[in-house]
Amino acid sequence: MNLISSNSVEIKELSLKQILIRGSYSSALDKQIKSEFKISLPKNNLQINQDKNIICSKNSFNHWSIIFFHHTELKIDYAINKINESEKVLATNYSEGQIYLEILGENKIPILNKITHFDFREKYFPVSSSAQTLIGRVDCNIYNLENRLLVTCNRSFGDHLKNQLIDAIKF
Amino acid sequence: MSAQDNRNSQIIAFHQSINFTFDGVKYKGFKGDTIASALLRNNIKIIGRSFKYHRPRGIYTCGIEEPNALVQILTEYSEPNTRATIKQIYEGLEVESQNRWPSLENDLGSVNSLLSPLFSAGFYNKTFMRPKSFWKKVYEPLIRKAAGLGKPPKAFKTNSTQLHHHVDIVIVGGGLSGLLAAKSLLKTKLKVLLIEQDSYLGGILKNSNKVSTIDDQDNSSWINEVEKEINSSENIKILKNTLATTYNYINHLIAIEDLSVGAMPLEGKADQILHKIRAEHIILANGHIERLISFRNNDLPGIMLSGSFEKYIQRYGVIPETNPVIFSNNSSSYSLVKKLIDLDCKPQAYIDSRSGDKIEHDLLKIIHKENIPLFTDAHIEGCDGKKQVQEISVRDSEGIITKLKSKMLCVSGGYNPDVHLFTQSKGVLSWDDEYLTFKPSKSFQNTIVIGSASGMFQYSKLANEINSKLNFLNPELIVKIDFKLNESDNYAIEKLWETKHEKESLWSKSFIDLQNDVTTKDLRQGILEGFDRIEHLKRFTTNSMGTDQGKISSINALGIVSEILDKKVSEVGTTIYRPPYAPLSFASIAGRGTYNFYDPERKTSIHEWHKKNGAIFENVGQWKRPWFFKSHSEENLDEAVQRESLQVRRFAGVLDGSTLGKIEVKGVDALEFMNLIYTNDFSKMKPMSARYALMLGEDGMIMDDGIISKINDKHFIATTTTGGAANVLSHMEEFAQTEWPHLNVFMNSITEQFCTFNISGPKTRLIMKRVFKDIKFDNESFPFMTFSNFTYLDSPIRILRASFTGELGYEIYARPSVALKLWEDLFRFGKDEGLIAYGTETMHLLRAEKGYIIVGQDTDGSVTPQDMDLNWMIGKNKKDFIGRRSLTRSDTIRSDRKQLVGIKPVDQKNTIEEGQHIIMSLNMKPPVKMLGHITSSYMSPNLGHSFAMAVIKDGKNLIGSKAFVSSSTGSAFEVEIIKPIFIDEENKRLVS
Repeated sequence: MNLISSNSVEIKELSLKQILIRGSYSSALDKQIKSEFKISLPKNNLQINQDKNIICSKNSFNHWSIIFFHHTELKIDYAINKINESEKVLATNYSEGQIYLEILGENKIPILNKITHFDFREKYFPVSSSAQTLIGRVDCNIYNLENRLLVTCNRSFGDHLKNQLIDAIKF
Repeated sequence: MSAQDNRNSQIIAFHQSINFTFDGVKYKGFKGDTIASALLRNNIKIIGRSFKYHRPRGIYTCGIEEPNALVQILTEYSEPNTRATIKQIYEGLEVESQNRWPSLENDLGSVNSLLSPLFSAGFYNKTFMRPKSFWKKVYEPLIRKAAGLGKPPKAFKTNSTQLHHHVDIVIVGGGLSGLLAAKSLLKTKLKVLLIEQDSYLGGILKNSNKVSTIDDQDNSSWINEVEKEINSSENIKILKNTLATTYNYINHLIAIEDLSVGAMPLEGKADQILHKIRAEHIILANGHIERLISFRNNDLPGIMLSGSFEKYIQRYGVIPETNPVIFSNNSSSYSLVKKLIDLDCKPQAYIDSRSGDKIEHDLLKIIHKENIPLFTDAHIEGCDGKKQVQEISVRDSEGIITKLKSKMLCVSGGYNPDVHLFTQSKGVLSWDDEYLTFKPSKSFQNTIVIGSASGMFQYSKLANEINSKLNFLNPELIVKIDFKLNESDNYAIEKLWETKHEKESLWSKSFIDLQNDVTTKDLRQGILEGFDRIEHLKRFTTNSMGTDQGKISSINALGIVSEILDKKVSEVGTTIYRPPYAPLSFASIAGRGTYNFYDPERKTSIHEWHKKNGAIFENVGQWKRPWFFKSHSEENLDEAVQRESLQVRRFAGVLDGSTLGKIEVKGVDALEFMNLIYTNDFSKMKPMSARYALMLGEDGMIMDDGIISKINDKHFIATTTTGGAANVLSHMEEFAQTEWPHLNVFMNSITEQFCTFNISGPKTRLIMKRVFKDIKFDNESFPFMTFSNFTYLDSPIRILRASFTGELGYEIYARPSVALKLWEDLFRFGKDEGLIAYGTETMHLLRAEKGYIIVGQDTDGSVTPQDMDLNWMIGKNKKDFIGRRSLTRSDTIRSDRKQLVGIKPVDQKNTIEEGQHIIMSLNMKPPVKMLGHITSSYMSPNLGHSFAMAVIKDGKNLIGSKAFVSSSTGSAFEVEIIKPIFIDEENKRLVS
């Protein structure tokens, strides 16, 4: 859904699926993720591995989030059940716990700079990396996906964040 | 003599006249004029009244350092204390003078000047002592009324926004030094922000006549060329009209950009941006400030700093007075003298405190050539005049006083490097004996100071200074620059802080701080009274305080103090220049973070349903929770809660409990982890069952509670209080990661992945059966404190049989995508059974009737499970859990701790109020021994009277006793102390 398109910025609200994975990194875990989703777990903090359908981000030393652009809920739940067969890993469906905003356009960084202190410079936030920061005082995850940013936040803050972004573009 | 235009100004658009008003009178200025330059053009000298003595004050400077010319802008929400020397005029601008009544010309407050002996330094520390009763009703209101210069704005100004920057380098100041620094960084890959407070780059090049050409180009061409080069670069951005106000740790700079310079701010558009800039290095090229000299009546309108006078001519195209008298102790006034002669406005006299042999040859030559009266080794004794300068008294080297009739006196007391930002950065200053000023010595942060801001006043050395200081950034850097100057490059100064003067009347005063009306006599008096430390003296006299932070006078004050104390100035030291450098409006600090954006709001997935159905919301943390639902527009909170709670007990009600925290816990060691985190023992708990659980802090005090659902020994779901959700997850993570890293256990918050609906009441089972046709809800199939997973509209849901009301109840956990449909289905099938939606207030009442506590309401971080009669929740056979050791400390096991009890009034007409004290008898002598206080209190429609929960000393042993409860009316009434359970003690309803 197109939220706003103005001032060389476009914001779309996407309906995506997301799994949170908690566990110690192991080749077995990586193998399992690969077999389920054809993507490997990033080893470095805040690194993103991605293909056109999936992004997999390492949020902290034992925490990954996998975001799906096209998967169905049933497939996700099925995969989660399979991952959770391992007692040493916790996989949680968090698809509906968050909202997903895609931010495009050449003015996206100046606009975001109005409501976040986050440093978007390439040397600190390169393509294929993620970060957790405050945008409009809301705790958000940002994924740098080359020419576009994916911003997620908890669903309850969704209206507030969207209104802040619209205000930042308009005002 | 009067003001005259200098049509050579390149900044003023003389073809574009602008109408504005000052104190209701219409004036004309030109595009580019500030209020000050326009008023000077109109021969207006008095701009306002001084802070304490209400003396007439005029325009002393031409920039941000102005202490006097502060005005109220009526057309901009009546913005007060605006510097007339900065604010540009626009068509229709309405300006008003400040701190006068009834008018600027005739101000009743000026009587203060005659009463000045009463208002000496520190008078407010010494007076208003007696009679004591006068303070609140007489003194304080009077002081409040007299305080401040302008009137507060009529409306809060919200047209400000903010912008964050991350750059390699910030250059503060777009003058000569700043431009050279920027030029030298053009070929680097460094991201640079150049901040200039003016609308134009160039600084001294535009403001004075000191430099005639640079690299064989006239100043303006050179500036334009450099600006063009910068603008075409990819790495340097210029922010004009932007004032750096604050230098924080670490290289964090705050700057305010004025977006409506010379124009009326537009509604709905930002009129200023607060820039928050984080940089690797900050280059301070913010120049210098000219300072005053104290003499008798040195505050009269018509006295202006020489550099400012020249700036009005050069930049704003106005000669404030055609034949001024010039007084100086340094070489800097040469360019002004030359400029005035060039404009055929030769000075009426030139007075220099230096002896003839120390005055620059070129200066003497031109003065002699033009036959300008010259006084060397001479001082200004004082000025006289009614509301503005009319006569200037010059004391020559032999002490003879000559009186000069003049309306304008230009004064130069020398230059101070503008060190405000540098000292804010915690940089260290050192005293310069040659230039008689403090200058930057040692940076505390990555701060580089260049140009006159560094105390370097020779243009010929500027390029070398920049090369040497910036070389580490760009080894290739070479700045070649060639100046042609209109004056000697050697700045020279002689010490002169204050001249010798005679006191001619009570009105005669020699000011050191014009903004705060501090006189040199105040400094002497302060020292005499023992305030001989400069920071103490500052506070005692208010010298260098206020919005200008003593920009033009603080060094003079140090000089005077050093002489009184017979110390070197370097020994006296400096005071700290406080941020901001110039005032910031609250609106700019708040930015867009006001009203709707003041604090993020959290909404549940069915928030809109609540809104449509009469919910009145309460803030629970950042959550918006329905407090109660209005059944009709006239219904108030009390009526709604009585109705809702009766309905739930008789039929059924549903609460949106989505805000409760939900945490999924899984791992090989999940059971051990949960046993350590909570007081309960989950070892023998059956899979797919649930238990009410308590979490303690390490001090043994109740921290949070919730229901733990056990899927199996390796997988749990915990609920938390709404407000405690984030803390509980952090607490779990902290212990998992730091105290018990050997345990294999992981947590995920699932608070927002599931909505929670708590349905309860005798009709609940019937409604649930209708909504979930395939699920068996009878006691045998679905006993109390068990849960099962199902699907609803192909979406997984979990139903837990639990209740926080004491009635038969279920908690339904559903994903947000199906939540609204489910909620509406509950009503579709439950409406006929009397199902209602209820809010948090009814929830509080119902749980209290059942004796359930609320963490944070009935507990306050100082109560243990024993205090709350929750011993049964402590796993007796557990080896350890957080807080266990603290529960056996002597203080936590003593019997007379405050304990939870129930309270009901003996006379049931009485209403118990939350927070009231409980005492044993009304006949106790003060100090009355308090037993404890009421933690929760409600009027119960189910009981037919008021009831309460309380924590009181030795509460358990007092059950059955009578006591008294205070009330807000001042009286107390008798109550009965009972067990803290009021309804269904046998749990018949709960397990029905």
